[in-house]
Amino acid sequence: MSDTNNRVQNPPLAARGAILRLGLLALGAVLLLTLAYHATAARRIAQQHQAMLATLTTLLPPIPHDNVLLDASFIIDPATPRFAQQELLGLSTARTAYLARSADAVSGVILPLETAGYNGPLKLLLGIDANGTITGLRILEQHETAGLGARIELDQSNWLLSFDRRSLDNTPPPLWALKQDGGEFDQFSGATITPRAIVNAVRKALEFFALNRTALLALNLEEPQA
Amino acid sequence: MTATATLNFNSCRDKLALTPLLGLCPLLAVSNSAISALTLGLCTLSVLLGSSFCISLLRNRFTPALRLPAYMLIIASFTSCAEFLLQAYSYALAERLGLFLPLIVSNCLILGHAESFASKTPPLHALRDALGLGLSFILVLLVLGMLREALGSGRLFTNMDLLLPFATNWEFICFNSPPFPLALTPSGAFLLLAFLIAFKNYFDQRPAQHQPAPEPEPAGSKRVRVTGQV
Repeated sequence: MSDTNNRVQNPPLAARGAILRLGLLALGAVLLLTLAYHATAARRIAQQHQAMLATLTTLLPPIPHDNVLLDASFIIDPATPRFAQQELLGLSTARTAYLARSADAVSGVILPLETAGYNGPLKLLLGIDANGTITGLRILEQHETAGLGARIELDQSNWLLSFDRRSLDNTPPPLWALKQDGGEFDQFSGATITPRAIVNAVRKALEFFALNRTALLALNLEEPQA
Repeated sequence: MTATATLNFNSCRDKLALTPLLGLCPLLAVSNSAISALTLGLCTLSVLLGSSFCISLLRNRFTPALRLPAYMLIIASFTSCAEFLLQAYSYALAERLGLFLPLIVSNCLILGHAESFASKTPPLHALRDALGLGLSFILVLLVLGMLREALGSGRLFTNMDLLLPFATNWEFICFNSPPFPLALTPSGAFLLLAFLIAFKNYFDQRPAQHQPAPEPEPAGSKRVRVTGQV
């Protein structure tokens, strides 16, 4: 036995006790966490699923659909163009879009869109029916200033609802602007950058839908999409 | 019974000044609405109860060198459990708190209580003290959350039904346009917290004027410093 080996095998008694105790405690912690993880797993996944589904459903209130929206999804990836002028959606990363179906025909689509806000990216979801009319707009992620730009959030104002039922037909492109810019959308006092960015992003998304309407409505998602 | 109540009340009063300053990070970050404040307060309370009980049970098993890592491990485990439970209860609530839910680990309030109290008292006593401390933390968080929500967004108790299913119609509008939007930002939180502390100090000092000889604070016994020898 070499000297080094000896030292490794016989650490001081107190240190051995300490290692043992800490090890036992860690084992207990692992047990507790494993138990908690598995006991809550089913409910956690169900909750997450339900939260996402609730958001999606509020995006399409007037559209009849008989499918589960989460099951009829497809990926829009800015790196691999799949639709004409995909850059109109402003995406920086691959995001999921959803199809609403009614009696085997596509009755609406939920498109992801992104734009630059005042403090960072604004990520949104836009519900559009088969005729290109907006059925709902929701924010997935925003970093706007609290009390100013962040008032776009639905729990702070009804501004997002002012997009409902609009389309490129009933609101021609020059009117897709804030009231102070000669358009039809309200701004907030002290915050014009955020609403202006969203109005423009939504108009571009509608243009994207108009360009790709036939392709989107003909999407058949029976086979799983990448 | 009366003695217990008095003791609990006193320990609450004693800590109320300390509470906001030790739990500053979550206090400022999450207290922008009543619902977030209440949820984080309840999570902190449950972590505090669980970890205090455990640490108190094991208090004689750890040498001073082992204490800190052992406490961190216990507190982190209970925090993860609280996170799992909240996600199982309501995903929307867990999303709302975001990063600040796992950050309960770093709440010095809990570690401070573990080091200065739970490690020195029997389990039941530690539990009772943790309950008092946790409730006072919830109280401060909730008051600050309500103030910030009402002043910053003009509404109160928005989305309360996420936590309390029966609270569907609790939202009411205090102001048509927010009178003090700054309240929603961290700087506004600092300001309001300062007002709360000033308010509390005012009330603490008032009875002292009527009492002839206020008991002098024993130096060094306050739980401000929790870094003993480790």
